[in-house]
Amino acid sequence: MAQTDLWSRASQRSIPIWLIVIAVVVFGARIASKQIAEEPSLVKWVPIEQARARANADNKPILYDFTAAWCGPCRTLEHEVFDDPVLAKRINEEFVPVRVVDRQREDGENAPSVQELQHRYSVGAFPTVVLADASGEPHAKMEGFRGREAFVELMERVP
Amino acid sequence: MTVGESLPDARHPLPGDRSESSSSGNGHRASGNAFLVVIAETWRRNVVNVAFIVYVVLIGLIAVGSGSFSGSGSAMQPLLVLLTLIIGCRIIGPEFSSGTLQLILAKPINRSTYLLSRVAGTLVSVWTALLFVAVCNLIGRAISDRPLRVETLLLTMLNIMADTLLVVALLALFGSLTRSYLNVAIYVVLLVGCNAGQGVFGMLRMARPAIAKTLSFIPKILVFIDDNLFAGAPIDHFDRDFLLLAASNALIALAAACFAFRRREVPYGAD
Repeated sequence: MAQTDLWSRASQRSIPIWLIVIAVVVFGARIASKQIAEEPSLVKWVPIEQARARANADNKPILYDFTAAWCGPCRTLEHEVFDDPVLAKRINEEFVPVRVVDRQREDGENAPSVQELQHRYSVGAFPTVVLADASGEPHAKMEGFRGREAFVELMERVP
Repeated sequence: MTVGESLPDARHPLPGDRSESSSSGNGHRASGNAFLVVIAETWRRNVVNVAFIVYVVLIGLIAVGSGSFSGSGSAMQPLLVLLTLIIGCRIIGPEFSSGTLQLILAKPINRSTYLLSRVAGTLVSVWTALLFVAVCNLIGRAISDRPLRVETLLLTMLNIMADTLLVVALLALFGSLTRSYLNVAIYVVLLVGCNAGQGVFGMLRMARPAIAKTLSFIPKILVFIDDNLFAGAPIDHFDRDFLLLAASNALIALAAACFAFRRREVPYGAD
């Protein structure tokens, strides 16, 4: 009877140490994972402020990628298009790529240049890709990510 | 047979048990057996449920017909998360209300072991449904001669498994703190509240910038909760950050659930 009481009190309410150990290890791995420097992007993104000048100088259209850190489909676009060596090379050769990152959710507001571009191209969802000429005139727009093939079709719509 | 009835009792030898160890020794072994018994019983109760079968067959038919299970914009992930919410709401809370927990914990089973085995049983049930749906998708692709992208399919399954693990762990945590089906209510309120709260704060920012600036910590808290508890899983590619986030948060939630459950007074009788 004494042994049963001992079981009830001590063993029935103990917390498995292995669970805490695994939780600490996985949490540590998560922290360490963030410390590892990410590989540089294959697409050579140009700052917003330099985009027009670069497009005029190189006589190329601008590819605006409107994105946000929290956006899941944006990560799929990144993985399937911008991390693809063939497509990344083509984007670098044929366009002036510009990434426009929305920070509304994190910071409460966006930089004026980001806000101005979002307003000009009526960006209502992420990701949105806009192809525009050096003067800013839009030629093609894709809202949401509809797959790699749709993106290639979009690129071919620019004269 | 309820989970409680199927648990082995340390005070009496198990059928076929030829050992002559002390009752305390039996208790440890029975607790280990109980882990598997509870998983199996939880799984059995879920998969023989008519509503579960109908729901999973419907998702399976969609997977056969649409063929976009492993593609972007797939509806499978939200449908399986919804299934997780439906069967995960029964993890522990209702047993407080029905009074069965008193009976179950009269057995020499460790409380954390019991909670974790209920979680594992629920997960096995959801992952059984996931496997069924994946097979349906493969069959659908084979019938309609669409390409079989096995790697994509496996990555989709991995992401959904991580996502459902986090959902079940959160339901276990909320269930260990409350009664009845309040765990799923808390989950939904947090999910909707975080997004609605950010929207409301956005309006406040436009209408009353000064007040919004003073309260600027609120959206940060909402974003933190949203990012950590309801992180959007990638559909069909490997995302190390998401997998580690889901796994670590699920394990922390489970450890917290065990801690809360070990201290909890278990009421006698039903509500």
